[in-house]
Amino acid sequence: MLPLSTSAVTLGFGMIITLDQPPLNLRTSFVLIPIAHALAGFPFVVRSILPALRSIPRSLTDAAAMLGASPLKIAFTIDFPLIAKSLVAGAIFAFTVSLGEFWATLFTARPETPTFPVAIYRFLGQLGAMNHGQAMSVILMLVTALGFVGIENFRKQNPEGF
Amino acid sequence: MEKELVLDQVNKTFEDGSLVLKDIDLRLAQGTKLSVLGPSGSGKTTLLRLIAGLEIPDSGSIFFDGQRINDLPPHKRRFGMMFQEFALFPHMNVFDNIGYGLRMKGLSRDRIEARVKEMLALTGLSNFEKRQVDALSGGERQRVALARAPWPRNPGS
Repeated sequence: MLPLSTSAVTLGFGMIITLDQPPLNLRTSFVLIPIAHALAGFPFVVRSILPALRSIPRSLTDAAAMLGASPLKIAFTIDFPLIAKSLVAGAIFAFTVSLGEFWATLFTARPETPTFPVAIYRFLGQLGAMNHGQAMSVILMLVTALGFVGIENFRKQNPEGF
Repeated sequence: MEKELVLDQVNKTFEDGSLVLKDIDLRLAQGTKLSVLGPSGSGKTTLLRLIAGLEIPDSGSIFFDGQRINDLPPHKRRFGMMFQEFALFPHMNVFDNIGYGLRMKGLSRDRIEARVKEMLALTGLSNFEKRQVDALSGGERQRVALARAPWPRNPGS
């Protein structure tokens, strides 16, 4: 949960400072954006998946091992299907967090590869009757709301998953 | 020559420091039936879990067919085990639960089907293939666990 306790500004700024030396000189790379977003979404994904993983009875993996399944096969045939719904919920969480992430991205985004919120920020700073920023804000709100409706539906169906 | 399971001076202590099995010696020839009796917490399940490879002994050796199997993982020991709480896979139907071990063994679909039907008939669960395990009664679940428990073998063997 550490990324949650740190300001996104610190996260973005810290990435620019630390990832500017070879072999990881990513200061001008667009890769910084997915890394920053992954860090921002990581606590939500962990929060979704961990309870589901912990709720798998040990006897199930023991039984699978007794039937000849290697640890890797157990992960794919037992663990993964049982946490699939939580994984989807975590992915939606991460997607919505990523969609609205602004402060870390403001530092890491290149002018030619802005994210949605950064583009809105730029558009809103421009004068004009046709302000694309407002339209984009509405789209962002709708998509985010849709994501959280999906998560809420999942939460009702699988209360133990959260 | 008959295969033999041998436990030699096996000890097991739980994480809380309680000694559950002390200097266990056991010699079982192939085909032997053995009942282990004892009060709750006396280590009956732990003994089975040690033999199955689900627990590692603190000291002592376990041999099967002359080979020391202490370090052999459970999926390579070729032992069958039925769990107290059945441990049926909730995301699979009856057929897939019973056929799981055969799939892990890499058998063809036809052979898996033949073996599963054989086991279903033996346990009186014919026509239960497509049923989800969550929808079964306690007794039916027990029989599915029983049908799944033997180490996966080819049909008819």
